[in-house]
Amino acid sequence: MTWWKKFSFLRNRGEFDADLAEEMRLHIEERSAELSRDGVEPAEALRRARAEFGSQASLGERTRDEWRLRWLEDLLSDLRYGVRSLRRSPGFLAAAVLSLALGIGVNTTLFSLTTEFLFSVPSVREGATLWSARVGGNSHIGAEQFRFLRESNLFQGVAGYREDGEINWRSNGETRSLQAFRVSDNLFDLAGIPLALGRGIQQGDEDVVVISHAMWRSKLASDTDVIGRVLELDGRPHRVVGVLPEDHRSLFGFGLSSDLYAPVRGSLYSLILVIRSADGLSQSALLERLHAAARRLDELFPDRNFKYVQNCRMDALQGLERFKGRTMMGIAAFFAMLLTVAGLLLMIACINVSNLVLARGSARVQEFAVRASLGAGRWRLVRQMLTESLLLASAGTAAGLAINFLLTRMLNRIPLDLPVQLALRMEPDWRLLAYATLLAVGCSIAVGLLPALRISRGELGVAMKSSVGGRLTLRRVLVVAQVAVSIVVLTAAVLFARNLAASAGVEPGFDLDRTMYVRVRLTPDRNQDVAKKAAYADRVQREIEALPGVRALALTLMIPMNDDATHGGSLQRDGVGERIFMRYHFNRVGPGYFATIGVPLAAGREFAAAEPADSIIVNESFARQFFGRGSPLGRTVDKRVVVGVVRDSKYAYLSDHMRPALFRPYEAEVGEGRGTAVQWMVRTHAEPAALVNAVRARLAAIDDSAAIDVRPMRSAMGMAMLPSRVGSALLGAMGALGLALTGIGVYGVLAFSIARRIREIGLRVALGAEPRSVILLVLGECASLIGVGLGVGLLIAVFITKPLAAFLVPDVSTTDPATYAAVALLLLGAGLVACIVPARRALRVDPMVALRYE
Amino acid sequence: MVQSSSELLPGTLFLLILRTLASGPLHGYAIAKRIKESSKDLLSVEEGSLYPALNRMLVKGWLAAEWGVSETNRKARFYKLTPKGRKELARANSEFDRMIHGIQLVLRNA
Repeated sequence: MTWWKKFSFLRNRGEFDADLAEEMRLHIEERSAELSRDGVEPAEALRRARAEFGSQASLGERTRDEWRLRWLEDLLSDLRYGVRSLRRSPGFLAAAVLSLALGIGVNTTLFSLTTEFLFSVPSVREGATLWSARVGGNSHIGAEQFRFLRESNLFQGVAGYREDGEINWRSNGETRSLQAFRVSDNLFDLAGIPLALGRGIQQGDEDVVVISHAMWRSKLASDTDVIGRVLELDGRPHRVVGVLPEDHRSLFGFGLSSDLYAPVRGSLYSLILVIRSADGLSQSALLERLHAAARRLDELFPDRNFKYVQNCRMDALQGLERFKGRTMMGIAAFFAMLLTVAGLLLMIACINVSNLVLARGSARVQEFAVRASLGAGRWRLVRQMLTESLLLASAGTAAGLAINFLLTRMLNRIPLDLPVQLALRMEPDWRLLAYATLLAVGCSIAVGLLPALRISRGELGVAMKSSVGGRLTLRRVLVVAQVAVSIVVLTAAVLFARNLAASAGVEPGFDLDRTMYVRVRLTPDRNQDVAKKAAYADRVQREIEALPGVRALALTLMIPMNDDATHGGSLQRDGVGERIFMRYHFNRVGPGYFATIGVPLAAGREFAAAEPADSIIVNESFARQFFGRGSPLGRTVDKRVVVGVVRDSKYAYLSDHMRPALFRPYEAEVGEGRGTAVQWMVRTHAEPAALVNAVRARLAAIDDSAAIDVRPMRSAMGMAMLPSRVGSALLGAMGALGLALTGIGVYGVLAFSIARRIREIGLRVALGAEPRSVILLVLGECASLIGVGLGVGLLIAVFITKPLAAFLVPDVSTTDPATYAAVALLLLGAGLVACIVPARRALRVDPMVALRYE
Repeated sequence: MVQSSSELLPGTLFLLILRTLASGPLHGYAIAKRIKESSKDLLSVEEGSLYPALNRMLVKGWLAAEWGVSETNRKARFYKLTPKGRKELARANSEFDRMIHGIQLVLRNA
């Protein structure tokens, strides 16, 4: 309050002075009038009144003092001075701002990416009273159980959705699969999902859809009359009732999006629970209610092996707890790693600028000495330096934010080759602003404090007399630190580059070149009926097998490297003894599956055409972990008999290494979400790409309402390659940037140090030194800088990059000497480039000019 | 006669000004005159202390100032108490009483 008054005084200073002058004049006039009344003659009265009043100027000064906002005025004057001083050296300003802008641009962009991917807020009304709940530890809850909870009145409202639904859209004689969120008919109202056009899905709605903005724009040509338009979905006409806004973010989070929302159909579905609570109910109170509901579910749906009341969870829709117990932990760690590397990059940039400030500082020693001798205190000089670095950091941050806007716009548009739809909508928000402000303050301290303390410290008297100031040691130390930090960044970059190369060359353990997958999603009237589904599968098996060029095809529940299921449980070995806990990849496969994809059998046989349901095949890792030595053939896992053992291969990720796997015979089932599709692996005689169209045409002829997806396996590795592609792209960019910044840092110090040694070099040349020895001198200088940094950096990097192993394929080791050799070579190369200009300058030194220097 | 505010007890000048303004708005000269008259010429507030003090009290929000016309028909700046100033007057008054009481006790008993 007080300071605000003072602040407004600052702006109305002229008015204040006029007011005060008027007030003082009145005072003197009144006094002289009083004196006149007492009989003093007017001229004398005025003179006496003036004399009594004293100095008006001094009174004005003291009165003004009461209003002054000292720190602000000082800050403003520091800023004015700083701006003037920076404008005098535009080259320095540009170099410093550019360095910081790159560092901050990369940092804030990764920050935007992290907040958008991990912490984006779903588009809902009053998110604070929305919860996502689990009963019995399952992510989804069955339809009957859901209906019970919805009608239980335990909460203000209970709704649900399924995130991986698909729907077949038939238009212009072509059927394609769309991603759909299936929702309970009360979800839109309960969550308060905003719409751009039309309305949400309402109670009692059937055969209506709400479409996404992207679908409206790209697939329906931004049709302005879209509301009420009828789409043929899953063989039935559906009316479009609403369009979502462009910035819609799904309840699921993590950027998962869909083409449309449709109400659940039929009575066979399961949903993720969304609960709306009354205001002010605590999480524990809500969990208590959920437990009560789960106990009731256990009474209504008794199951010996499963209890709804176990592992119930109530997570705030926007909270951090969502991560617990999810596979998301690994992804969160990946982002944390990226942010750490970006932080190191910013550190390199800060050291660069700090070095520039130091170099400039030694040129400014005289200026500071003059100010000090005119009475500026040490703290005042430090503050001036810090103000200037604050200016630099602010300019750098502003430019960095501009880079952020450009990069995020670009990244938002990059399509990802994934089986699910991810839509990131990174936008500047208050979090970004807060983070950028934090960076700016941090950078200004990092950049300015060291030089400020250094320059303001003593030796000023000496400095006034001489034009060469300060020793070079601090700058050397900084460059050595910079080299060390950039080695850590480069090591990460090189590791990820090798990871990408290794991933591309990785052998998944099955044949990538002669296989393709076939994925068919039938409309519900066919896929909800097990007999129809099985009949369809038989027909496809016969007709595709008959196509020329096809060697074999086999049904599978999971397409390798595209789908995954991890089962975990305690299994009994050979029907006796303690249960053994196993986590393993699970799949159901048809006859001849392993021969089709090219995974060799180690023992036993494949599933036959009419395989008994209790036969299983395991991989070698499973056999070794579960049975130990000896043949597992004929032995049992939970009473199921092992009929075959196959070699290990990769199942979902390239990082899969000795992952246990268990296979059961394929069986047509109803399935849900992605599970409604029927999938085959196909083996071809030649290049599979040539067969894609023939297979598609054949399948379309069998059922033209089915959505068909056929892809050669070599090009269907999107999901598996994504982490290494994203990692190597981001880290590669950061590594290159770090290398460039470090190169500039080394160059700066070298150039400065050569400039200081010009006299010495001149003398040497005059005394007959060969050009070779001059170059050696420069190289020696460079080598001493990089050598020490290299030693320190490599030592740190070996330890600090250990945790990266979690993100790398097993073939890439964090301790492989080749990586460090590559890093050292890269840095030496950068150092050599940094030497070129100073070396040429040293060679061109004219002895006479050098000797007359100063 | 006490001449300068520096010889007054600390804070007393504020108290005197607050008290003087309690009966209604006055301009600077009138405040000084009123204090002088009320104290039967025992206290006189120097201009050099008066105006800085008035301004500090404006900053603190105890006083508000506005331009008006003086009894001699001249444009003058009138100061008046704000509600915050009234509260401060009450507080300073009782504080002053306690201090005087304390001083008296010391003078009597020490």
